[in-house]
Amino acid sequence: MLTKITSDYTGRAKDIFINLGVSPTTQGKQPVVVGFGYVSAVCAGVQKLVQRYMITFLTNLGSQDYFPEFGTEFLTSLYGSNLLPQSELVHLFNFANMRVLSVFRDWQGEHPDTPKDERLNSAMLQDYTIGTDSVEFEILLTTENGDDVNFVMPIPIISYGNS
Amino acid sequence: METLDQTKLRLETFIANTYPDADIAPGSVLNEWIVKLAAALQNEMHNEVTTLSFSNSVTDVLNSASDTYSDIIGELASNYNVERKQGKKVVGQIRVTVSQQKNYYVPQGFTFVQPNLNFTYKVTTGYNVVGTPVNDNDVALIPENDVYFFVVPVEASNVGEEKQDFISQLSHRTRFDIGEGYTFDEFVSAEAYGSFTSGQNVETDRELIARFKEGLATKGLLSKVSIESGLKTLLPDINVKSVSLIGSGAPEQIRGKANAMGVSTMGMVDVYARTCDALETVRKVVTATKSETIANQWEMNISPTIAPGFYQILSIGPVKVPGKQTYTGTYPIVSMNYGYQLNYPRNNYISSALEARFTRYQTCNVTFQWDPLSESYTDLTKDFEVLFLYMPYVADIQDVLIDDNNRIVCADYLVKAVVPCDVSIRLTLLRRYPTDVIPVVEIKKDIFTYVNSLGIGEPLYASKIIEICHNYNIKTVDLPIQMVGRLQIPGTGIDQAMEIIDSDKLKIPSDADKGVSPNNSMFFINYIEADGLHDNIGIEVI
Repeated sequence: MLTKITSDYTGRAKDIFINLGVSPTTQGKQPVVVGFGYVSAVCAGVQKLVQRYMITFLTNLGSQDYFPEFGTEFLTSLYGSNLLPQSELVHLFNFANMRVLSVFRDWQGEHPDTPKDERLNSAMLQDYTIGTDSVEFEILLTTENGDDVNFVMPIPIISYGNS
Repeated sequence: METLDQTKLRLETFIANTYPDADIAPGSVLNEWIVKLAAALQNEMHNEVTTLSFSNSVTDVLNSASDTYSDIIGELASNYNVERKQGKKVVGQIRVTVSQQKNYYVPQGFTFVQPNLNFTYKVTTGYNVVGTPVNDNDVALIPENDVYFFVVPVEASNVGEEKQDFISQLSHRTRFDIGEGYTFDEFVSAEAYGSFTSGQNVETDRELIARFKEGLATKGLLSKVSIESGLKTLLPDINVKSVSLIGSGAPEQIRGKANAMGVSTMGMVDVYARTCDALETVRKVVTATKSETIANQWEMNISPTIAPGFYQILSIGPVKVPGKQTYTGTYPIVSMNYGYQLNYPRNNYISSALEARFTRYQTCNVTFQWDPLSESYTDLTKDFEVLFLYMPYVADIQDVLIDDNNRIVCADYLVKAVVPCDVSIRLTLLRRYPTDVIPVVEIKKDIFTYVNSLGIGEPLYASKIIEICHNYNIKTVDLPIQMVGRLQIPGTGIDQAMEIIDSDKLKIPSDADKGVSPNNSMFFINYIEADGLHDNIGIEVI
């Protein structure tokens, strides 16, 4: 659980903040919706870690023309299946999660000076909820300094028209 | 060419160094949206620029006044299946004179230095200097007047500039000193024993580019380029520097004209080849017969295989025998008559001695004076040691071009050593300040390289020599520069030479009657004159 928040980014590497609607001061799970719009919005620390995790997790493997090895097959598998049993969702998540953890750990190994609250220790699927127009995945991230962060990643359901 | 990952790493490093506050870790917005896209775009641009720089590199290399050794050119060469030659060391023998008769040991690595040129040579294995050699590593200590001498083989050392090590060809009797850090008891003097081999330079970019087209050329021995390319493939150990073809109809072509029209028949091609930087010498033992009618006159017949295509006989003397005194100089030569012999399985068409000069078919009948009573010699035959001036590998190249597997059936390729024009240069340099040190040795090396790299037909320009001198810190070159060329005329009797002198542009003249023209002659220059005592490239600094 986060015990301290700060907006002091001194000495921290910053990223552009695109997880609109996420407030570090709100307890409990919050849905993350990506978008641009904040003027000079940057982030660091756990916020940045969550953002990076999401981007890596949700980028389709092979979608970047020049870097086809980046991303996971989560969305490709999810949207590419006509009928998918609910239990399969957990497996799909775990495969994709392993890939993200591998990428992060490789990079963290090459950059040992990164602050511990920006280093990913583990990520687990806590729960998922299937709604009418989205599936919400509740994810628990743990940083290397022991902080736990809960967030929900909504995945929209794409409906196909009836013939 | 740069890979995408290399470009990305370059960008990441740049950002980390210039703006460390930007997070470009995997999954960050900056990395995924900006750095990766920028890397992809920059990688294409970088490689396009690199490709353009290749052509610029080739242009720069071709226009460069000095030799270059660029990795880019090496990479281009690999596209043509051509690799840069890494050169071959000069080897030779050094005669060491000592004051006492005792056993000596010359250790491996023992170094000799030519003091004027700063060339270093070292002994590659240890030698025992003894009175009577028994083992492979024994060399004989030979008495001569009041001193003693022995001869050891050496090769160029691997220190200093590459040019110095590989092309430091020296002539007989060039003086040496013992290298720094080495000592030798009772040392009197050291000098080159015979000429050193020419060796091979590390291939320059210009030479490598010239081989691109050879790599692409057909190997059918149909043109100058294909023959040069073919020879380099078939004879990889021979450094064929240049080839010139003289075909039917050319004024220099004298074969096959024994007909009513006096016109050379089709298919006759003379292939003039150059296989070394400076001319080389070789010592061979030849048996002579005493004349029955003329007192003290001896006659020897030099067969084609002794020194194929040799230019001159520099000296005739006694065979060196351990324990006996040696002779320097030459016995007086009375007459020389060149001929030819066609005793190979397949022979070129040759009908006169003149046509056979500088080819593997050349023979020579030599008469000289020697008094057998000086050694109380009574036999009618005796071995003598003959020193030849020659171009190596003429016979080897002829073997290739006449071989049934290689030759053009309708062509008669006769290989000849290129007609040599031996050059000597005298120039005076002016210092800027009295205390300036002018690197005369370096200037000599550059002039040596320039003259010996001129192609067939290329004149020797004084302006180029001036340009070479101005690569160094001098005030001016005092004009005029003296350039003298001694062009050997391919005759059938005593050797003749034509002297050409100019202070601006030394050019081989065209004289079909004498068999010389810019199409079959090339300039050669040695550091030291044939007597081993005088500089061939004379530089005075004032």
